[in-house]
Amino acid sequence: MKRIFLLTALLVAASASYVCAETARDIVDKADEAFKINRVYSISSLTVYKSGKAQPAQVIEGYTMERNGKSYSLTIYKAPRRMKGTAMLMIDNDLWVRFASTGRVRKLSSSAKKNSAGGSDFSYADMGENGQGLAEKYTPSLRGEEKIDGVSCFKVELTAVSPGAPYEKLMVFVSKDDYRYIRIDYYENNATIKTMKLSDYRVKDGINYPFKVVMESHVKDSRTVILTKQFERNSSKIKDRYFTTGYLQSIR
Amino acid sequence: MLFVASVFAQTDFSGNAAVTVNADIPESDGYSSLLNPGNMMGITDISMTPSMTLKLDTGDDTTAFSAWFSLKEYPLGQGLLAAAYGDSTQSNAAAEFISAAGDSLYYFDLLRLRANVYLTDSISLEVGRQSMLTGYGYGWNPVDFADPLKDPMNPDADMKGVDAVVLKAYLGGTVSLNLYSLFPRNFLFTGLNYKDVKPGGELTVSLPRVEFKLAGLGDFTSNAGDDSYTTAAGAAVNLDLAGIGVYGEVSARKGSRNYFAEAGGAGLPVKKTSWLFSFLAGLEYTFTSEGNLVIEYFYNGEGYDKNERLDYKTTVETFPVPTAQLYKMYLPGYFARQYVLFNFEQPFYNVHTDMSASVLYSPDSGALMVMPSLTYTFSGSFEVNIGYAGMFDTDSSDFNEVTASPVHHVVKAVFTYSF
Repeated sequence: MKRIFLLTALLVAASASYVCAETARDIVDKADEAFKINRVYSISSLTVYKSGKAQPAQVIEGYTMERNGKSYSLTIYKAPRRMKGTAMLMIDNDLWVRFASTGRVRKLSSSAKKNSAGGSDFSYADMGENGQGLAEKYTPSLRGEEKIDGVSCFKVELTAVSPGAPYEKLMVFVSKDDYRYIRIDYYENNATIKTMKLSDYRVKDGINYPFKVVMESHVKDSRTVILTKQFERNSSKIKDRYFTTGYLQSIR
Repeated sequence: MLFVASVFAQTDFSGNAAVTVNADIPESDGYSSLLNPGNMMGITDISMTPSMTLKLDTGDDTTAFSAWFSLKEYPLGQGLLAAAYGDSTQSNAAAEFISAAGDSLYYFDLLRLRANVYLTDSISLEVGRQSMLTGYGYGWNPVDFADPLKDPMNPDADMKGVDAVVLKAYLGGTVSLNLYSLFPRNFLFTGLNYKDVKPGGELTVSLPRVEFKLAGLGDFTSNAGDDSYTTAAGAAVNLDLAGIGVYGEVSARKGSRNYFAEAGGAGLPVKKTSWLFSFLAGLEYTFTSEGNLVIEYFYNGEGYDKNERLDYKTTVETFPVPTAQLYKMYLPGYFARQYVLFNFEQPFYNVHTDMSASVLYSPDSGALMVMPSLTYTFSGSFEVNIGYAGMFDTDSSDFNEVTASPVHHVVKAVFTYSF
């Protein structure tokens, strides 16, 4: 009798865990909708604050596209002057960088993807993640609920499953009422290395998109604020030919 | 009027102005060396070189136009030194030395003058002076058959483009094909025969974590004249192995682009006509500290072996005033047969500083060149680079680029304003 009870308890626990995993997946899938968008053109300003002091603002032009299961991302620096013309092309895990001084394009190893893009708190991988949701590369588990900046949120842990996942673990906080990412904590070696806060959500082209994103480092006194100035989904500005090394060489 | 306004709305003017201050550290006999007997170049302890690059880029959705200009002031001694070091303006500058008045000259150069148009979404045509830089190597690119040689100690420096017509086709996002014709320098003034046109091509295949290239160039006038082209074929590959970039390039050339001294300094230098092989192997990795490391080995089939270096020395000694050809033969980073390059770059964002260190060593000649530098950025537009360049001879029994150089130690400050 005791054995039957134990077995039943285990089955119930397993079922509950399955329901939680399903729920966590649903939550992340819904939150990902804002980012699983194709052919996006954007212009953003990026300001890095080192020890609270603002650095010269960077202006970046972004082009993203999904095609045949591959994600394409092109980022072009328009300012400051010394970075103007620097550009990065990412096709899945492959990264090419254009150096403004010579127009030379160089292929960099995937080790560079984890690193800071232009001295900011965003990595090349973070910058090129538009078009893909988080759910694809991580396994979600519901870890409860929490209030973040006054918003009731689901707390979901995402553990890396794909070798292409840039971080070993993420803790995401998704608003309960409208499934928006409010905060994401990034983990390496089981410690939080940085936190991203997403705000100023506005409905644009049928998508509830965060026009303000702040990434704060926990390993150095640094914070980066990205303000999206222009955002177009299914943009006619996106051309397949932009995602080639030949175009990268000819960037102005 | 509306058209003009529209064009200018999409036109970008940019560039930079720089002042380079060199503090040379003299040897016991001053700056006299094999290449600078009695300091004929007039090298001084401190020199200052202003320069400016202006870029004009315009275009619309399917066309683009670029014109890049550079302006440099050369004190005569520095100009000769630049010629000796293979500066891209060397030939023209050297020709102007004779008629130059005063103790310096200004050199205005056209680095790029290129127009390109997308004929379809996957085919583009590019015409004019343009950079054709290719390959995976940081310091050297044996498969780059079109461009002038780049400086392995400063491979990101502005380089003058080549005059060409290039047809680029992108096939399915995986394959790209470049077909091109290169034209000789100054052909607009001198005219052109069909045999002077050099046809070339490059096929690139990009797969996840693997990319490779096949390249070729035809030269109907191989070994003739003073151009830097020969018939050549090559291949290159780049692999991403667990985050480490592993790459290689190999090329075969029908003859040399550079001259070789006759044995014993018996006559004028000549070019080689046999097939010469060069190859490069390299590793690239970015650490979590964001430091980027490059290590490369270069076997230079066009370099001089020990006997050829001695022949060069004898020839220079035989001709009391070195000729332009002999100067051109003196190219640090290409003078010997084998080189190893170590380059490390580390940004320190919190203090607005980038550190870089390059070490170039020739295992066969014993020449060692070291170049550490720091770049401090004051704002988004102004930066200062302070560096040291040192040349050391680790094999005194051999003749190498260190032995010949008039300056072995330089402390340099470059002030650059970008606009």
